[in-house]
Amino acid sequence: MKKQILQLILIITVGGWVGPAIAEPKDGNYYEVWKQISPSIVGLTCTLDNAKFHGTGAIIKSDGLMLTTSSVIPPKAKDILVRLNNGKSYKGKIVFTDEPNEVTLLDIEADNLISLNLGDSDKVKIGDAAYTLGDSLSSIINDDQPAFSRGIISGRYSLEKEGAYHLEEITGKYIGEVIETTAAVNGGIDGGPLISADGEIIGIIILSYSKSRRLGTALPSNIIKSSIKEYFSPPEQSAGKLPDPVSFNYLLDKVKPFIVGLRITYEEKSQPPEPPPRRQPDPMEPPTPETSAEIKEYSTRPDSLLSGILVDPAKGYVLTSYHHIAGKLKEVKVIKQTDKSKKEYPAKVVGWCQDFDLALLKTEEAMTGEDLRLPDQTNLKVGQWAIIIGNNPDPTAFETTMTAGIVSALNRLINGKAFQLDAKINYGNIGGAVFDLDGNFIGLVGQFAHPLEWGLNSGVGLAVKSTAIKEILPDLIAGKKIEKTPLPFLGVQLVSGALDVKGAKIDQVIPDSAAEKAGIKVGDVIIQLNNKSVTESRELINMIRTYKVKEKVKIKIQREDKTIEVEAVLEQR
Amino acid sequence: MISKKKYSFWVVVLSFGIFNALLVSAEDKDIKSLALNLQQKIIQVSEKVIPAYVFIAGASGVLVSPDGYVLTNYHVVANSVKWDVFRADGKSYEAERIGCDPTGDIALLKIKDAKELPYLEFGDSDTLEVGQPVIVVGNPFTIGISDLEPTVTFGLISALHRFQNDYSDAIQTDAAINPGNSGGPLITLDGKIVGINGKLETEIGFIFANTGIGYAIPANQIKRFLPKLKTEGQVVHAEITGLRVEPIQATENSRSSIKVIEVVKN
Repeated sequence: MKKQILQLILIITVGGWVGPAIAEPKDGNYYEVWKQISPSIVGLTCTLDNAKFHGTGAIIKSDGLMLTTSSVIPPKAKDILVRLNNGKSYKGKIVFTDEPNEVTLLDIEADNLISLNLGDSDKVKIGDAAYTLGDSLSSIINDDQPAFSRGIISGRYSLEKEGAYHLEEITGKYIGEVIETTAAVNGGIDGGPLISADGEIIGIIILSYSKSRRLGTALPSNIIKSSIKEYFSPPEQSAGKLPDPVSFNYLLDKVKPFIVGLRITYEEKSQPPEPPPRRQPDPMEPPTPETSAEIKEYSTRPDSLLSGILVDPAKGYVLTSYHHIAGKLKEVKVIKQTDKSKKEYPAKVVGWCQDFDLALLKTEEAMTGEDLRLPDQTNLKVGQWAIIIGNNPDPTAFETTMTAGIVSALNRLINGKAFQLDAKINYGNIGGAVFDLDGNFIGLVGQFAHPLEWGLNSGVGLAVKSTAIKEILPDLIAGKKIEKTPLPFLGVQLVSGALDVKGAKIDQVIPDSAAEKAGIKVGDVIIQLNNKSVTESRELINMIRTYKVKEKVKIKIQREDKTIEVEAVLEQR
Repeated sequence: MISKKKYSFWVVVLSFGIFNALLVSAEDKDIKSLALNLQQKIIQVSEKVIPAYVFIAGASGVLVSPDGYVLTNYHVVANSVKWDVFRADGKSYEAERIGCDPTGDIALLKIKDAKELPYLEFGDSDTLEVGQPVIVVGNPFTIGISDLEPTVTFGLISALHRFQNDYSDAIQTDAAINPGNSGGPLITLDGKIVGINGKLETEIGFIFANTGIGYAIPANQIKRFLPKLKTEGQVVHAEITGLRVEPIQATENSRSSIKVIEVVKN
């Protein structure tokens, strides 16, 4: 009840906010959003010169006018078939095509259709909630439902300034201003709408990608509006509001002063180490030279602005991913994302730690701004929101990029110094910062190619913890260049799999190791470490990781029918 | 969420008419509290689910009973009967494959002499709604195998009853599903299993990573076959034989369909 009163107050004060308010999605359930938008989403097929085309459209007028792209319905297309989510099909007719902008208008002979409004794309903010609905893999045509995905507005940039990337087999060629989203964009969804939290079309999905981001993009609605204005003038009022529980736009002003763009040039075309060979969808079919070339392009960092974090502006300290500075550098320049003059500050690499995928840069000249707070402790939980802020690939933009997801796992790699998250990670935001809902810095986005078979934007990504950064920062400031951080090592191999006894059974003792010096023998079962009981091999491994090199540990062993205790001084792996 | 005190404060501010800046910050607070609420639920359900998750054969499985029945995909455990499975706390168990449903891509394993293991209950997958939030637990790219920590990803139900990719009735989700997620559970925020994750679609053929489309086998289909998996070892799906058919393309007045052109005698 209070909530309703509050919304009412908001309506009065904000003004110009017409349409019924729909109840807030309960427990993050977006069913109402999908239900309300679905009737206006159509699946489209057509043919041209024996080629079949397929995609999505959105009804923008109740008498059958609909919006799509020329990559879905080319100007001379034949056999245009329009499929609604109620299973009805109609013959479509092209009314208008604007090829440079890829805008196409279709008409069908129908009445009383439910239409969507075209919103104001200039009002869209980074971090706003956004939805995609479309005929993804023929979900409308085969199964009478547009596939639905929720995400946020993750970037706004001009593809012509950043360099665009087009999929070979698809005809999207648009270059210009785009809105990027983390909501799912797949084959068949192109031509479909990007829907705002207000339920309006704020763009149509096109198949042009930023080279460094490679996330789905949409042609902004304001470009569409000016393109189609002779055929259609959208009504002024907005649609019914669809309140969204997860939007992160409020964070942006607080965190974006910490984000910098890095312009790094290399002596020779030096690239980070080759990623591990990619798994084939079908191992029986090795890649052709063409796909090999595409795989190479996919695994190669593009020449565009990279992300970094400004930790101490007065001293000029900037943190980024080690991968960005690996190789022989010619020049490193730092550009503050929020700096209107876009001044480029020359910088040098001070220190790095390859293990943490971390590098510290220092600009020659001092910069301005607050220091980034590095926490002593973060209470990370699996399932908490993790929001990545990266630099904008467009050098002229003042907005950062933002992708959001959850913490997927707490302790990964290098003794748990990294955590895993499902926010989209790509070449554009590696080196960027991860924040929690309060804007606390929780990690730096890393590439960590090994042992992870890395998939761009796959929802499996790693960040080095801010607490680990704080630990190692003094070393980096002192100019250290660390390939491997010392890991504690006992020097035993354990029997894997299920055991008939509780504990960790020794399979092998490495010669000259801490274990051998302590007198541990093959066949021993370790049952306690520093008075904490060990029930499984894995448990022992995880326990050892929590100690430091040269630390002394007490180990209780079951040897045949005797229990003995030994002391070991952990060594470096 | 909004206390009475704040509410009255608002009214006072509004009545004086100096409120624009304050409105923005209050609205931000509201946006954040909505995200916080959902976050709390995702954290709680993750805590509940992780103990019942098992690592198996570089992929995933889930405990569905306290005495050690484990569900996974058939394609995960197809090539062997005996498997070592690991739980997230590092405990390992020997499990035996006792039932297969190759068509439905489901397999049932049993951990020997198990009792009082954490497990998850099935939800009703027929009452799922498109747009409903879900979590997925798995081992994508086998990333969790060294530290035995599974991966939790979050998303929505994107579509239901999809006829796709060898699955005749699949749940589609935009929660990240990658190679290694196979056999893991799809879970609603009340902690119930509504599906077993099976396959993913990729944007470009050779890039084998999630692009916002993953498929799961619905829980109700599994529930129906579970007694057979336990007792008979193999599930045989019914099929109609003896029809000669031809496909019909969708037209203005009809959807794509198949036409029966001959029924073979007997």
